[in-house]
Amino acid sequence: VQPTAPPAPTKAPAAQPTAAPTPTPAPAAQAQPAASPATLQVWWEDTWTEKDVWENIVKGFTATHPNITLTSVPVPFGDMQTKVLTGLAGGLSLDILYSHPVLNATYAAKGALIELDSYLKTSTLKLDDFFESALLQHRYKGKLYSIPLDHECNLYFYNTDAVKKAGLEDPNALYRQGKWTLDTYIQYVGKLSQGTGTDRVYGAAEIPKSLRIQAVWIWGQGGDVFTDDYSATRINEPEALKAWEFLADHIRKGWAPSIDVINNAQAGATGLFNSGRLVFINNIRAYVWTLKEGVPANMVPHPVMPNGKEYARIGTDAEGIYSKTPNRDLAWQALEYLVTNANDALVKAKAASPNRKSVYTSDSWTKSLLPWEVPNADLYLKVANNARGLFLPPGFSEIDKRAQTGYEKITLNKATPKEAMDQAKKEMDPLLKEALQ
Amino acid sequence: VAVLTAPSRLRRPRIRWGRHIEGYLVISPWLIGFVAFTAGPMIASAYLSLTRYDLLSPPRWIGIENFSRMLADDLFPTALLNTLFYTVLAVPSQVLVALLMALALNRQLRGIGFFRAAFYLPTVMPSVANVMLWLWIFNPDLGIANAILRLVGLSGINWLTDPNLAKPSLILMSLWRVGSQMVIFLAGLQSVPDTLHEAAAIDGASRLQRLWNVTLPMISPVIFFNVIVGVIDSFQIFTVAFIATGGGPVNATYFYVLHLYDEGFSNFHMGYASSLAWVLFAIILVFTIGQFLVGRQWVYYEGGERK
Repeated sequence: VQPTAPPAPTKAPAAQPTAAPTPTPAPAAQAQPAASPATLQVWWEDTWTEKDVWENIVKGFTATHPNITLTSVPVPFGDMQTKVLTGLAGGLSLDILYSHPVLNATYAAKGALIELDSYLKTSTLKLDDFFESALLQHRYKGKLYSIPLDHECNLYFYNTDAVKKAGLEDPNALYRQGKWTLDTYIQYVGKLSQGTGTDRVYGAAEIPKSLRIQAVWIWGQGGDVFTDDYSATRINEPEALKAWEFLADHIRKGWAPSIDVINNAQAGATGLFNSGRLVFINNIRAYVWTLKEGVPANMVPHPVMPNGKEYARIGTDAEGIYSKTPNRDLAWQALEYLVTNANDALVKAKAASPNRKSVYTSDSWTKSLLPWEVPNADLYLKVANNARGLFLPPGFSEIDKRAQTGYEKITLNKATPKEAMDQAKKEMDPLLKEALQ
Repeated sequence: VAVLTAPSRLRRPRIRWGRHIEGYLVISPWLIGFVAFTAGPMIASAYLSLTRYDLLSPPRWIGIENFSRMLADDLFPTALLNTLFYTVLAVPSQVLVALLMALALNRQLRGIGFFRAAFYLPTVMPSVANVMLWLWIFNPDLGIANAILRLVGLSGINWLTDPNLAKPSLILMSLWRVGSQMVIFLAGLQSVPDTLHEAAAIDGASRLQRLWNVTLPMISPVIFFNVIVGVIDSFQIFTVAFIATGGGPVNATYFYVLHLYDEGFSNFHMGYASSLAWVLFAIILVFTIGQFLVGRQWVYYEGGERK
């Protein structure tokens, strides 16, 4: 299939131009002198596959900064907020703290992270090389509190054999012809969902249950999650309701496996994909390596939405400086190193997408691509540019929980989208107001 | 004066006071532990329940606002009703199953010790391992529960993901761990004098009549104890829902302590979480007093200590 002109990219409001600026020099290139020996501790999200990578990153830093010993502590994501905030109250000692869009504003509001703008003024780190859509998720009240280590945008990965067997045209080819629309996607997953019981093949996995991921479908219908000033939610407006209908149809119409089926499968949705029981999987590039080699795979961005635009959800792991560190300046040195070198190392290990535009043209990135990804390298950059960030207010998890309860009611036919989301909004708005007070 | 007062000084309970000190010294590890880890936190919690406290800034006095906030908290009635539902169904079921097991095991048969140990074994299993085991049993495609249903021609059900079945499924799971209650019943059954059974048998009472008119009245204090402890435990159900369902589906297993935990350690509303803890304490206290009042009507104390 010859690639033809892809549909015009949708610019997210905050997205940066696609042209790659001058690469950010990795500060670790030169050994940094330190006044006196110090030990810094960095927390990162405990993803076991990245353990060796992190150990090497830490070793690399210590080698180039002889007077600073960097130690790394993996912490499970689910425990992170509780550990950090209780630790903050109890005098926890660490220097560089893992952050995430879900955590950033909460940490900033509670004083667990310090703002980084003052350090950036004199730094060689070029912030304009990072994606603005990612940075906005790490700001709070206009100030940057953590810097992304990666830039993970969701795409669809699919089993090309299953698509071919169903007599359907290749979605990647359709995308490049500008024909990969939401209606087409719905037809595809409907046709691909066949069989019963343990033999059932599912067209697609359910979109993960979080507003931060579901948002792209709401935007695509012309709606939004929050009002511009974040004074209220907009999840019960007609545009959003269309998105909830679509999302719930994954379960109601049997396109997607239920949570029970996912739990049964070894390695969840990925396990189902690898066993040929799931055709489309909505995932990030960092997990491409988990797709089984024998399964013929390809990739396609999210479909063009009813509002004529394309969106991608962006997830970012990030690091910031812990407010109680006695070594802020040294921690900044380490942070500068991490956001560049750690990303490079993670990219090489196929465990992350580049966090800076300049890396998308680097050898380390292109060499990390699997053979079937190579012809699609342009799509990764395009999706990275199309990604739209969503600022998540402090206490987002508590707010999101209400929306997901409403969504569950829809999937179980316990309420109409309007009823469920009217109720959710009623519960969420006071929480939102309290969170931003 | 010195001569006169000396004997009276000697008569003062110096030795007794010394014994008091010795006694306090002996129990001091427990006493220190109680003050530091039970009484102290309870007093602190009572104070915090009247404050706004997020752990990071000093508590701010807000009076009873946390308690009035419960009226506006959408998850408070859900959590409370779920917990009540669970308690009302789980406690009688647990007591009944434990009693039946104890009756079955209260025989002098060869190898009975093995069966008693076997039935008690699930109680010593770690809670998390127990939950994981039941997740497999309730697995809709691969679990034993649905396999049995299919064997008898029924279709499998979504035990933990159907909002109507999730709570009953957790109640079913709780029956797996009634070993402690069973042991207490067993001890109670073995303390019933054989002479009473023999007398009843001579009077022509059937086995069922002896159970109803002799055994149950005689072990009524044990039943009462198990009900009281069961109610207190059930109101505090947490681990199983936290691990197996996370409070779902659609908050069907969102229990009171899960809500308390979320408010305290996920949302950092420590003041509100403390007020929730005190309301739970009050609820359990009311239920316990109520049971003691009702218990007077049906609990038989052989020595006549209570009437």
